[in-house]
Amino acid sequence: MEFIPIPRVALGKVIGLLEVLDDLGGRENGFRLAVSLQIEFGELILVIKAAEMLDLVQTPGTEVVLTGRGKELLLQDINGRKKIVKRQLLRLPTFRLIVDILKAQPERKMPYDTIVDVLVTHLPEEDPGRLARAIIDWGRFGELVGYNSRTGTVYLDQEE
Amino acid sequence: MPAAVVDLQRMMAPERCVDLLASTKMEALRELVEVLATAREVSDKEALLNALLGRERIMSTGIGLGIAVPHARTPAVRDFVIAVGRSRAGLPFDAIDDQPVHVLVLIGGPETEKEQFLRVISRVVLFLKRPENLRKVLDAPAPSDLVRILSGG
Repeated sequence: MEFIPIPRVALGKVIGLLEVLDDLGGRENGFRLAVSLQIEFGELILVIKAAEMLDLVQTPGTEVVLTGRGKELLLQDINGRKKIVKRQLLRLPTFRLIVDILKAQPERKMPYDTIVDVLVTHLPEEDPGRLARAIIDWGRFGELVGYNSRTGTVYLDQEE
Repeated sequence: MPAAVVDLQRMMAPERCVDLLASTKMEALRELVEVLATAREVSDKEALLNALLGRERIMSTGIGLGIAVPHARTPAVRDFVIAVGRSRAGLPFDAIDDQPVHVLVLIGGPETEKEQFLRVISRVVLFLKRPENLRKVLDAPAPSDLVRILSGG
């Protein structure tokens, strides 16, 4: 199983990318997108990578193209978008790893530090704290995992 | 993991690198804890073993490719300390790839050293994941050679 790092990108920016792409007819050159979105090209690359990991865009050549799933997400209200994001997150091995570990815990929760520990073991080249925060941020959006800052624990959403 | 100074050599000793007799995961952890406990940095080997088992219960530290990195940050350890075990035959370790483990690097660290502990794990795993490094560890004639090899010498 190959664990791939999660880019430290807010999912709100990913949805912003999809909306701009949709306005532009569903595809656009990457460099022109950076201008349209008024963000640095380096940051755009991370946003595109995040969207691609979630199968919301594809990147043939220098173009960025909305996928069917990306179009489907844009048609949904916020709850529908969260459901699609949740479904896509569960396809990512790094997310699956954390979700499966949480599921195996008696109260479906685990200290944040333990998540970081697991991540550094499997993705030693990454900053495990940054990766854990990205997982929590994305997981919160998809209502898959939550974080209790009082106890420092990460927990699995009740419905999962 | 951002680069930082991690002096593995300081944490290792030739007498704490062994060819394991164990044939199970539990036996291997016990055997390596006994080896690690010869270091003055370890103040309570039972507490260390319990901490290691607690981590293994969450998820096996068998990371695939024949490598396991059991580890614990615990008050039972005063300073960073490492023991290395080799198993020619391979050990069942509930590894993520379901393959037997041939190299175990047991890492103990003080409870207060969270960031450095992560750096040590990262350094060890990155090193062992390189096939040429893993080969050197497996092929070293004597286990005591592993201090030099794992230290990048």
